[in-house]
Amino acid sequence: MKPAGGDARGLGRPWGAALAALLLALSLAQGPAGAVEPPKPRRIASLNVCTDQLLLLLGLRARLVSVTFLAADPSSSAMPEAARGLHLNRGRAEEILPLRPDLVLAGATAATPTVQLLRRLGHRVVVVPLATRLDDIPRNIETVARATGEQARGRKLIAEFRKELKRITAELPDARKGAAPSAMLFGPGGVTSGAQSLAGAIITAAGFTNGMASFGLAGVGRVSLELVLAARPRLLILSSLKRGNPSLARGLLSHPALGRAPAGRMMIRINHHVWACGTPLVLGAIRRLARIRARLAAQARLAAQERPIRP
Amino acid sequence: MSARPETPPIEGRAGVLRSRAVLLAALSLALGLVFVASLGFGPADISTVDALAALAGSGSEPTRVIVMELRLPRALLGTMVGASLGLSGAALQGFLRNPLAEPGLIGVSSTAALGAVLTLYTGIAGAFTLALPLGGVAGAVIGVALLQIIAGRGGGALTLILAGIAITSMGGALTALILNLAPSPFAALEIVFWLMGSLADRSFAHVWLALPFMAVGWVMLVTLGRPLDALTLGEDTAQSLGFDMRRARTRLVLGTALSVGAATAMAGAIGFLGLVVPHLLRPLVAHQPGALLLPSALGGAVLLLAADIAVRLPFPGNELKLGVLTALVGGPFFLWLIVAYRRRLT
Repeated sequence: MKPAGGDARGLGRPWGAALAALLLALSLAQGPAGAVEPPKPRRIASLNVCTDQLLLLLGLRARLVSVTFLAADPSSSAMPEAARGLHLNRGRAEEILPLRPDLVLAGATAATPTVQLLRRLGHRVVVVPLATRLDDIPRNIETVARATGEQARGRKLIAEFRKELKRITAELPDARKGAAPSAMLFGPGGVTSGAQSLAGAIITAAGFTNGMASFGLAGVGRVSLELVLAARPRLLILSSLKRGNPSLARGLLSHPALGRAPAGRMMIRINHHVWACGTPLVLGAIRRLARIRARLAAQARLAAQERPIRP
Repeated sequence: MSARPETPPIEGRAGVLRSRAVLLAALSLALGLVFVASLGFGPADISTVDALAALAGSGSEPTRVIVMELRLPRALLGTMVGASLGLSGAALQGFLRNPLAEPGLIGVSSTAALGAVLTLYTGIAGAFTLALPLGGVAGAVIGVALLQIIAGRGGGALTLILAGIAITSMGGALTALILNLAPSPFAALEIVFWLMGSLADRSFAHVWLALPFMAVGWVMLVTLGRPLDALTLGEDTAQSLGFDMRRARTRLVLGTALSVGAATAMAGAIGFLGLVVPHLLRPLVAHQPGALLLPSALGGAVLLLAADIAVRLPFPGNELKLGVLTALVGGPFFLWLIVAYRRRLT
């Protein structure tokens, strides 16, 4: 997915930033007299890895004064390259204050004292809620677009997202023909996602039933490896971390019991960061899962055709 | 118990041997039962009978995978870890002639966890498989050596415990520090595993990785029996009886470090087990430290497997850490022991 605004890529160098600032200054100076629109924020700080990515997707890299350290980590962000060279924060007010931002974006999980402190000191803080459904993605894009004064870019990004989502789901096998196969997500340390979660929404959007919902899990939670093995989902999705950073949680994904998929089942790995943030980049995962769904449906059709021939 | 030792009536040597054989047989039987029982507990609905059928090769595929790849290695590792802790507890108590000695309390488990954490989270264990148990063993060696320097020769129970508290807190603090500094977002959540211990989701890889180290450690400790018995007469007497006490000390240090170090590297630091088991069994072996070694290994395995069943009972799928349970049982026992110890001194 290409970032919406054309100026996201090449502007890593100070020249680009200077040019953008100049253009912005010019456009402000030449703006229509009597415009009611407030000036667009030019020093944006982001305290959340998801708002980091939404800002970058809106093509606002040149106006960012800080993003989270996770934005540059390939295990946590879908676009670590885009964050390279930016100031990185760990979500603390002290790191943000010296940068004199005119807009701070925080996630709903941000430390409340940090947000309160920044607000008390007169900063404009916009809290972007967690996405737990696919419909939350346009909503969050809109929130960020409005806060940054880029409604037009936001609308464009939303339209592209909706169009592509529609295209993928239109090609899905008919849900009324036979029950949807079950899929389960199993991440580092057994972290998984139930019904009201973004990962659950991705799985169901691709034509699967979320097996974790049958365990009564609503949001994000943990599940034991034993239960996953006993449940035998048609598709087991291992949420893998890209590289390095060893931990026991990560070690669980290389448990020998997950060494091979049982007969008639499938197992794939999808990068961990995909499930974390409600951005248009989830379309990549939905597309991949939908392809597997189509293949499973084809297999089922084939099996149904063969059945009468067998004695 | 210790206030008025109830020595059994003096029997013939054959009688002592026979009662020892009965004890070992009873403990082995208990170990077999609790081992089989532990295969029947877990979040998936697989009973002990189903598990035994799966061991024999029948049953559905998921049941076989769960039993063979999750529950069996877990029970085996539990047996090995429990035996290591019970055995080293008995050996340490006998050698230091101190009823409060135990790998968890004197800081050996803590430094072993530190060593394992250092190798795992820096990625060394990923590059070189044996690094994880080696890290645990190296940490344990440092722990025992520190203890020897501070409280080894002529140090009373109090010095030993105080030194142990200091080493344990330092080891725990450094472990937490490393986990906080580790780049993985999951590492910081794993402090509890290393400080409290768990057998959840271990695999045969862990069993095979730990077994050689533990086996060498067990042999070193079990063969300490005769020097330990001689030591009850005092160090000089034991020396005059022809026992090389310096060599025995080296064997104790290495044996404890190998078995506890490897155990901790695979299952985290589990406290109190090595304290409780020898005390429970001591009256049954006529208070002979040498005769206590093998029964303590078996008893430790039985107790750890029982504890590992208990952690799975209250919240299936979200089990407790082993150290929570051993501390709940071992803590009051430890307090009682201190009170009894003080009463005897005054």
